[in-house]
Amino acid sequence: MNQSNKKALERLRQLYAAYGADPGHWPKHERWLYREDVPPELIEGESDARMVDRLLAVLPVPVAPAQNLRQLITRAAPSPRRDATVHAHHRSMPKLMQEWPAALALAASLAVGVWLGAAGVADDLLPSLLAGPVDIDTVALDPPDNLDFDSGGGT
Amino acid sequence: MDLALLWGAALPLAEPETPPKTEAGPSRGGDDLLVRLSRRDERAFAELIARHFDRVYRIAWRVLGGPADAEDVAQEAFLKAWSAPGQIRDGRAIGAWLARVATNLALDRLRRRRPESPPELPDLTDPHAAADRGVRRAALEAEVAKAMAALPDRQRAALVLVHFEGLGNLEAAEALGVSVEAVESLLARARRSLKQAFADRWRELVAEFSDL
Repeated sequence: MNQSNKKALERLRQLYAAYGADPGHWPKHERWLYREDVPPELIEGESDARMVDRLLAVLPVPVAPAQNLRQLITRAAPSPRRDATVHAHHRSMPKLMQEWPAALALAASLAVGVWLGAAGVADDLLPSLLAGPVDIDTVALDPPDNLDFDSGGGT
Repeated sequence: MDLALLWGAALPLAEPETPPKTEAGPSRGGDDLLVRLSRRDERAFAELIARHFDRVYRIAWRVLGGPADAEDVAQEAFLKAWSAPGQIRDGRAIGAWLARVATNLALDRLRRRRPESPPELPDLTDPHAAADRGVRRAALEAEVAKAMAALPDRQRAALVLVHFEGLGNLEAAEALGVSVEAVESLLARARRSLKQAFADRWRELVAEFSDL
């Protein structure tokens, strides 16, 4: 027996041992090794493989409970209705009214800055202003980008 | 007989060390599904569940050895897909990704479990019961289930993924975080253990299978 045949025989033995007797369970690129007439050296291994296949076939197929789909969607997905309520209110406001708070805050900041500069107060305050916390009430806030009524509801 | 004659001339010896990239065909529309999942599209999530839940549940059930926790583990796998779709690198391999996550979740669950007493087998001393094919089949089913439950967790997981769920050896290797050779070793040892569990009545089983 030449070296190629020995290797093929050994590989066939490994396939029976790992994947069973049914070549449908073997790696696709190795199914060509299957033969109806089992080589004599492998008869016992093939027979054992076939018996284990039969034992495994006795086991029932688990059936998933049907109600999981809705339960899982409810559990996992964010509620679109609550987001829609918030966004619908937000979107119903005219665009100018939506921008009013931001514009007002910016104007207020500008006014404060001008006053500080004119009064000469900023020269003393600036180091402590830089070191202190930012007052978020004076920072212009845009509506968050991730609030999107149209795509969040899955309609 | 010369194997060269048996197999034909010019044997192109298969190289198990270099299997193809994946043995599972690409899932049509998988990339689109992944994109929609990333956008928190609930219909995409429902589609994902419809396509893959049964298989994920079966994997969880069989690795865990029964229905206890199987549903929870399966749900958790889908919740991971929903909450972090960025972890799925290839939309065409969502099924394999879910299989991997479910397998690892089930193995984690088993590590945290306390050992349970083995399931009781039906009494076959009654000759009338022994003559009933249905009862014998149920008894054999219980014995096989017990032998499967007795396997080391990773051997059982390899058997579930490859034999029962038809994952390619590469996919199974990725799911278990091992090499293809290691998967084959796990499979071979699992089968050897199953055979040994029935060693004392192997011949009897051969006859029984012809009768069932």
